[in-house]
Amino acid sequence: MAKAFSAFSMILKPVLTRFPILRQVDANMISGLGLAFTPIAYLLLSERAIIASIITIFLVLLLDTLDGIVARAKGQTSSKDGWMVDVSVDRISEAIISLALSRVFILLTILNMGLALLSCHYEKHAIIPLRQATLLILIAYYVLQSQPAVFILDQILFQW
Amino acid sequence: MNTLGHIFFANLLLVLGAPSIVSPTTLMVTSIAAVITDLDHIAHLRTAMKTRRFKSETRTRWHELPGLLLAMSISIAIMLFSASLGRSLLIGFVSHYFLDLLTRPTRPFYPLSEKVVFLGLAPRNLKKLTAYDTVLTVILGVILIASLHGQGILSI
Repeated sequence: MAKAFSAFSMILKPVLTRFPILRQVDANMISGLGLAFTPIAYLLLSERAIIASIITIFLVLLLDTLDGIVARAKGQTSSKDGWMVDVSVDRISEAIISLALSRVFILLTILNMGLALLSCHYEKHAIIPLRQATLLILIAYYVLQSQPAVFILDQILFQW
Repeated sequence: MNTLGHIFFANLLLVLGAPSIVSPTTLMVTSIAAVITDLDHIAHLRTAMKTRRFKSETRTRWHELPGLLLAMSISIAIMLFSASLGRSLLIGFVSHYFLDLLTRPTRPFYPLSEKVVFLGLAPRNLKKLTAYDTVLTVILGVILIASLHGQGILSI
């Protein structure tokens, strides 16, 4: 997962050189924009609009990655400051998305929040990539829609 | 965000995201959960009257991530007894932290860190912030009333 996202960052870096306007944007604002999109993902998930949810969560993750790249490109923040913005936005974003999902996801969100606080205290980064996992499960849910296996995914995502 | 804005946004998430559990009770529970977090401001009411705003320093640990962790844990425990009550509580709590992080300077990791996080999506100037809050609250209120009317819960 981490490798996939570092590859994702490598694709986005040339975007920054092509669009210098992105360098003028505040990285925190991009994080905020990503966070602002999460209630849309929650509403779409509540309606079981799977494709639209996949697109929205992907957009949220894209903005989440972009803010880090912009911050690094501008040398804008110290790593600790950037980490705090990133982690707090991610945890609230996960909490909003989990409102439409099963209790398993709510519990995992709580666990992740605890891990974030411990990470801040011990300065060791340990987080579950919950939104990325949700995105993968949603893609599997969409692909396997006509298969009997979708019943298990439906239980995990919406019922348990 | 102001109290009305919190109530409108939380109820909007409830009405649009979980219409099957909407009832006068769950609307009330969500509203209470959406504003109860702000109780820690009461201790700083006098200072706020002078400066006309609550600063991030007036937010206790219960108004930040540790508070959300506790609020979510309480909500999920209540969900074991009453799923609709637990979910409406959860929506109220989470929506409050969401709106605050989006529109106000907060200290998400307090008391572990005093670092103030501001996402820059709302103005910091008091006059502009008041106008921004008012417009946002009116928009949320109108959408909420339309949603309640659309679902036959409120007749206009």
